[in-house]
Amino acid sequence: MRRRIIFLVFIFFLGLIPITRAAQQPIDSLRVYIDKTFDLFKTYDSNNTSVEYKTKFEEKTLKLAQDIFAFDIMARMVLGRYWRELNKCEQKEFQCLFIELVAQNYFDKILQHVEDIKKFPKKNIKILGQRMYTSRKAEVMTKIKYNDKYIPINYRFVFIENKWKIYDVYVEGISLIRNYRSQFQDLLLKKSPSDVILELRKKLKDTWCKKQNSAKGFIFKWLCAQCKEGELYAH
Amino acid sequence: MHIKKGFCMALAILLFFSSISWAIESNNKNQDLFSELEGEYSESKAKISDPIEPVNRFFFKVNDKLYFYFLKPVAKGYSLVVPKNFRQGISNCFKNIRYPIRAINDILEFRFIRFLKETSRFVINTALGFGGLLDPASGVGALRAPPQKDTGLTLGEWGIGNGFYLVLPVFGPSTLRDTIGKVGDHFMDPITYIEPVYASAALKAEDKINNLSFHLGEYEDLKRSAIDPYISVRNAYIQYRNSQLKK
Repeated sequence: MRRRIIFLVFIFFLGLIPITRAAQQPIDSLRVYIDKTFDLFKTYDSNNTSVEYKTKFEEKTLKLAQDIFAFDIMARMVLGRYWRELNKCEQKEFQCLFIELVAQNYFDKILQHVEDIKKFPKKNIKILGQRMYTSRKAEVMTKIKYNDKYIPINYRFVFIENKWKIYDVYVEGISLIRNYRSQFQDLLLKKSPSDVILELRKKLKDTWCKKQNSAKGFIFKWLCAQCKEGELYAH
Repeated sequence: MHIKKGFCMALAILLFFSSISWAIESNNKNQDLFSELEGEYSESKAKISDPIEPVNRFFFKVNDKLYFYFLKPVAKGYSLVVPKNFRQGISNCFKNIRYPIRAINDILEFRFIRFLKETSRFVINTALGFGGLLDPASGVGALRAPPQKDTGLTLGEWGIGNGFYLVLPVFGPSTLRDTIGKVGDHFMDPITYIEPVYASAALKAEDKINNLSFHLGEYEDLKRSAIDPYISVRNAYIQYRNSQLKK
């Protein structure tokens, strides 16, 4: 009997978790993410040039990013109404390719400039405040000092699965998702969604092949593990 | 004891079903959310007509080559020879000299407070900042540089639309409105009136290279992360100008 009561109490507290999480604000999520990223970079050892070490490091940065970036929503928004024309596997693959496209650039940059990032003072990132649009949509305004100039960077947040997650980034008023969307919409006027995936794959193929055994190949392998390899390479 | 057992069972069943209904509900909520977000992006905010796309694409390629084979190597060499602080000074100086462009446009937009701000900045920076090499005015909170205005933005403020997209040789992305604006800026720019003409042109070229030295690598990044760099630049330009217009 006592066990059952304990069990019930346990269930009761499980039910409370979403409520406590909901109390967290998007601005706090961003702050936590920035702190965690800075802490992670402090641990990076530039003298260690082994591939495994770099891979591990990239993996950690991506994991942190995945905690706060809603990549799946991003991929969906980029394709717009064409998203529904893809089957489940294609959707998954598009997500992978899209992350690869964005992350590839991101990690290349990060690894090139680790030392600069380590020296980058945290006070140069200013979190200016947040604006709630609805109960589940918000924007956090920040500015970052770069080359003696402040660059405004705003993050659009959405409340999904009991977490505040970023679905768009505005750098100097330019929305990342709108920019990609315009490119894909233009391409989709001329080609079918499946052909676009093919094209994207072609664009990223060279880098994958080079990456397969290098530090950066893991993103592709890791993210696409959910999709059957055979189907992925069948085309 | 039996009652309690039954009660526990009932409670467990209730919890089970409520969790299922909660899951279904949250799934529906997600669908709502997706369509809500979809609505946000389907607005044709950054749409621009591009009737001469083939011509624009041609000049985009020309500018691309110009960047990689001429401007980039020159700016790279320049940034190696000229230290960063010095380049910053030159950049400040050019900005200071071009005060008339901002001042005239502030007046044309009936933004008198900004006009006063720009004027005080010009006076302070010219007098105390070694002719504009330094920017002491920005040290005063109220005198921080207001958003930069140009003739293209003034025309936009007056309600004139973008017209269509244009890629200008050397100058890069623009629109019909902003090209007309550029002509206006040209005549408001004191450097234009420097004699002889080649000196004025040389100064303008120096400004461009100096400015580029702060932004090396940005175009490469954009190109690498784009699927179609031409569309990416076109969209980014329109989004950027629209956001400047709102300021």
